Amino acid sequence: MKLKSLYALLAFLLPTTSRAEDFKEALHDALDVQATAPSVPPTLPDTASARAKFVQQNIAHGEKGEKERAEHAQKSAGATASHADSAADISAAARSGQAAAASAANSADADSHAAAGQARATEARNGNVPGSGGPGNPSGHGHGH
Amino acid sequence: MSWALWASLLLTSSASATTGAEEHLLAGARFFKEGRFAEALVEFRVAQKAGSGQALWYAGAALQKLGRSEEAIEAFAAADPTGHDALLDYYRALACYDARLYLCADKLLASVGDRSGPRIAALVQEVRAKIAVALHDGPSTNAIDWYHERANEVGQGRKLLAAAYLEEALALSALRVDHYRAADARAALLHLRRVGSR
Repeated sequence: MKLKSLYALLAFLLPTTSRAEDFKEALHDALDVQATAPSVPPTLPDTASARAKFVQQNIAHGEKGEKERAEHAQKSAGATASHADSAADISAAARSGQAAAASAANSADADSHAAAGQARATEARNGNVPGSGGPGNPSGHGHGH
Repeated sequence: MSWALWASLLLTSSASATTGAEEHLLAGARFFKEGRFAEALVEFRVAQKAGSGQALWYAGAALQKLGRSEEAIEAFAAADPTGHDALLDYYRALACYDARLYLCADKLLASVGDRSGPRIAALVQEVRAKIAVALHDGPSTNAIDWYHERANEVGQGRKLLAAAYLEEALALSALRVDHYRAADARAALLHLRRVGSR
């Protein structure tokens, strides 16, 4: 009897372990593909003008980031509107995404505001996260639930 | 009911609780792989809100790729220290490098070494060699002043970032015979920690 229980537990645990490994591998693979060396040579800041230039660059990056975030949020909102009619049948996965997005939307963080739009679009796509293909695409979510 | 059944039920419920965060983490990874870092960042942020302990590390990597090095440094510093690997440390090192925290970068790169395979190891060597050349003549007093000023500018509102600049200033001071402003850096770091613990 004990042996049977042990087999049952093992049968349950093995797919979980395999899924966790796939998950780790997917994350690792993404980082590995995009890992590059910096293109700018290192230079110690040595003058006031270097400092001013650095601050200016940082501000420019910040502005660029804000613009990107605003554009992204706008796109996501558009996607939500265009898919609103098909949102009646919401899967459990989509609901969890929406909950996360709602939480994100409450945050002051601008990235999270864009996230709210993106997750609403996810819901409208019937649970498929953007970038994962349509509902019929089984490769979208590589792990079972 | 047997203990195995109870264990199975427990595992099933905990697995489904993490699924939402994992899905967003995976979606972020897909965007990241495609070079769509802004979208990846959004997914990682949602995963973080959904309770993923690892997500902040990946958000840091996306911020680094977006050129937002200071925000990346803050994300990495705030992330769960147990949730990372050598590859994430490589991205953290690049964020330090981009923010001109070269000693911070070099220390992290040394820890990465060849733990992420031969391609990353070659990148690590390349970047470390460049840093060694840049630091060959030692830091000037102006350079050290710059790090102190930057720490002041980011101020109390961004303690993790200010601490990173001060730690760099302190490490650079140690490369000089006169340890220029080492005491200042130590005092400022101590002050930051005191304020942080209140």
